[in-house]
Amino acid sequence: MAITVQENVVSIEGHCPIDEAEPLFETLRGIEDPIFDLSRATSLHTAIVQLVLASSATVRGVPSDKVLASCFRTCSLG
Amino acid sequence: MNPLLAQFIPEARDLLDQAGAGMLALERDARSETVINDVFRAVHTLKGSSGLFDLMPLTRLVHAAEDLLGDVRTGDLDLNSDIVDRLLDSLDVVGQWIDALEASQSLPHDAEATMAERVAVLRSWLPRQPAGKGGGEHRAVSAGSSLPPDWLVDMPEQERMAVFTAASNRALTAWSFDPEADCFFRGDDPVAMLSHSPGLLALRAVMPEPLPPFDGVDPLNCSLRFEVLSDASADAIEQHMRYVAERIDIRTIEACDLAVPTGTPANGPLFADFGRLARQTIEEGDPDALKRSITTLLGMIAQSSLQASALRWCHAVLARDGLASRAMLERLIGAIETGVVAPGEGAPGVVAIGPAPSLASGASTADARRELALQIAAVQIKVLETPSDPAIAHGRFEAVAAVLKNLVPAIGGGGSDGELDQAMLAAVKDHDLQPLRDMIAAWSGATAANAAPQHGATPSTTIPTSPPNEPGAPAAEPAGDNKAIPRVLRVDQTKIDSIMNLVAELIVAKNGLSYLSVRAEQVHGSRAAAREIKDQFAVIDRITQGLQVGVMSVRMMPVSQVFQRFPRLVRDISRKLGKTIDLVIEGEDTEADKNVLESLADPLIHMVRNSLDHGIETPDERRAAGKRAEGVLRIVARQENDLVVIEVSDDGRGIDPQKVKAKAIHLGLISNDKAELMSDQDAANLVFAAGFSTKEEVSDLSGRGVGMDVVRSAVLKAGGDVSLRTTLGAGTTVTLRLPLTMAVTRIVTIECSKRIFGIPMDLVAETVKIQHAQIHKVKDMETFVLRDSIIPIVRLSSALCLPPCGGANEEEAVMVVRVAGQRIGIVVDGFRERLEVIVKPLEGVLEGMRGFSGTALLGDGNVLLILDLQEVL
Repeated sequence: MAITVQENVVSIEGHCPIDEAEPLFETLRGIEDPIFDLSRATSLHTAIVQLVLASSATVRGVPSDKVLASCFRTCSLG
Repeated sequence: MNPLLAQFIPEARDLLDQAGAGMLALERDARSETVINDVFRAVHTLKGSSGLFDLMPLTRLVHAAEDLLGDVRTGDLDLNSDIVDRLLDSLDVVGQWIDALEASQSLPHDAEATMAERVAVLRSWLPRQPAGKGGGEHRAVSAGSSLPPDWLVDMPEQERMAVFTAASNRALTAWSFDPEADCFFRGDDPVAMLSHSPGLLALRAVMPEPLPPFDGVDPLNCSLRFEVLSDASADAIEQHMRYVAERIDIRTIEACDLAVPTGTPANGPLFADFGRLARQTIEEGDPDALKRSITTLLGMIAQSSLQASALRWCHAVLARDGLASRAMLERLIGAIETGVVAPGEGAPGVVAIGPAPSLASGASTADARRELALQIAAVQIKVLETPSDPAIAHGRFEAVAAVLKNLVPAIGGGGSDGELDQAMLAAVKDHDLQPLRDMIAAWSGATAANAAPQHGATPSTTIPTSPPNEPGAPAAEPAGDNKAIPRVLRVDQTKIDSIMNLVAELIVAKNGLSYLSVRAEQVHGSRAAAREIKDQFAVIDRITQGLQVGVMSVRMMPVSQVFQRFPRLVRDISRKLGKTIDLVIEGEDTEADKNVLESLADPLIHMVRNSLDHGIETPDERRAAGKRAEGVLRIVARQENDLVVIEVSDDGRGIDPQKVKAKAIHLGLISNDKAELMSDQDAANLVFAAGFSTKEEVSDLSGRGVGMDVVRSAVLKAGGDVSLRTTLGAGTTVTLRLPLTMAVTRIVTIECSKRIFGIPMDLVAETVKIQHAQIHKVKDMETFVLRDSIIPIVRLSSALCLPPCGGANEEEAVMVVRVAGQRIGIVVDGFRERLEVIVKPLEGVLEGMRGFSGTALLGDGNVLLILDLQEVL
């Protein structure tokens, strides 16, 4: 599992558990107009999904898992 | 057994006891805040711990009880006896399930059915709740309700269409999942739960609208809702999501329910024309022509319009069913023509103006939103009130301002933007929050909504900006609850029993030393050795006594352990019999040996039942007799020297000695002569005789034949004694006397006909030596005078059918004992020493033998028979 931040792009790879929720939240607060690349994420805890949605971030790549992809359907795909 | 479960079981029992006792207290005084908080907390904790194990029926039943109690706590529900009955009944069921868990580590087969039935009754008492995250907790599962949910149209058209096309005419399930705000803390991951749910076709994750400012988000608070389309059955989904069943709303729908156009209605003459054309082609049975018209019109109008949506649906319907689904096509064409979607069969009318509200219930949506908005506003003030680091203060103001601005439309008739700006300015510049407070008060004053600002801590709002609030925490901790928690060890009783056995053996072994010292002197001729042995014996004796006392006290427990079941018992029986009873318990802290107490439990219950059933009269009878309508039942425990004394007394009608005598004579228990000689008290004590029962009708409470004789034998078996005092018309008192401990008995050994027997010390009043001349004969009984009383004499040898000992001495050794309240002198051949022994009851072949209460092993290896004087005399 890896969360990498490059400028304002947050990429999540692999399985992201709830432990990452608070640190990710802090990270996001410091980014203006964040962009998420979730294309390599295999599974995300609900708290992570929620954070992405709450941040109104652009989701550039959706996870391949159908359920997760559905969660981000409403997000703007930048 | 899994050690976690082994720990849960006694804890669960404690919690159940606490909850039960609390509910009885609540029934008497429903206003006590401490009591309701205690009960709620006990039930809440039980729900939480049970969640660790796979005990869904148990958790759900407790949850239903918790919800009810929660409403009692907030004042939304008044407690009455029926509700208390049901709650107590549910706790009983849970208690039975705990027993089943202990025995077989699983719940009984019918647990789910039992649970469903009781949950339905409990939840029927819950007051109606507004929809939304806060109220959603109370929603019962509505599996299979067939009204399509309101949120169905919010699901994107593409998704719905895909599902529609694939589903042909199968029944589908549309279900929503609204996880609890604190579900993450329970280890729940809703997305994962959904991923594995059966028959998943389409899913939508919904955040609350409007989206709160990101800075104020609580990442560990779940505010997501999920809407799902599935082709699995409602049952399958209910089964999969059973642990969160209260958060699920399942509807069975048909594919055609999906075919609802959405979008803003467009205007234009085209649509009327299309309508006519479309109907014509349908009449003519030409689907291709219709398809062409659809495509043409679609190319000409805005894709986001309602009509475009309807056209696309027509297309989908045609593609799937051809012209077969006439009703659906008709509806869609109507929508195209008029710009209004007519309600389908069973579906509520959908007027397509903008996005449908995302709260679940239809009618009260606007109100619920307003409520919610007001709550949020109130919390914003709180946020500003909490002291903060100056660095974040500015950001916080901005966040609050943004939230309040967003709330304005939801609050409707309330504030204006300008007003808000001014109030915020005052807050930031002058650090004056009053304008804000006033503004919000004005907003909420506009309607009757008053619940929100007054709750000090609004339970379970999921707005991320609210400070996290544990759903069960009372607003203010009761001040007096400062008792230090005693440090307690839970010890398996078998461990204590084995230590007790060892101590008991030690006592016997130490007695052997006395014999040894005698032998040392007499047999081996060493007086010095004898003396030293005696000294050592004294040391060991002292230590052993201390050890014995210590171990005994470990097994001592307060009688409250047994008494605690009485309030409930008395309540249930008095309700059943229609009598009002005032239960008074005294001396609860008196301690007695655990085994003794346990053997007492059933006799005491029986005595209480007797008093309630036969003793205390109905309120009418009592008033007629000039008594208070409320009967008093007193249960008193106290310690007297070596004994524990428990009295059960009532102020009922008492026992009629004449009736008892008559019955006894009728049953052949006593002769007429004896009956006449009997005092009233002795007559009353006849109820203890075997096979006795004066009540002609058998009540199902006390039964017949299970009378006081059973109580008596149980008490005797525990080494105790029972007697009663009664006054006709005024009441009865039954007294139990029990030894403080059951293990070691002090006895006196006596010699009779060259044999040695033991007699329990507590029966012995005194020992005397009397001259032959002092023995008088009265009728056919021998007696002697002891300090102004006449004491009857029994010769033990004849009582035991042993040959009388030789030698008509001048003196007779008489042991005066107290048996059944009477003093009797027993003539023996001689007194021997006093001993402490462990009396083991007669077992096996010897069990039925009368006259002996047990045997004891002596230090020299011999077996001593202990006399049961009641039976001998």
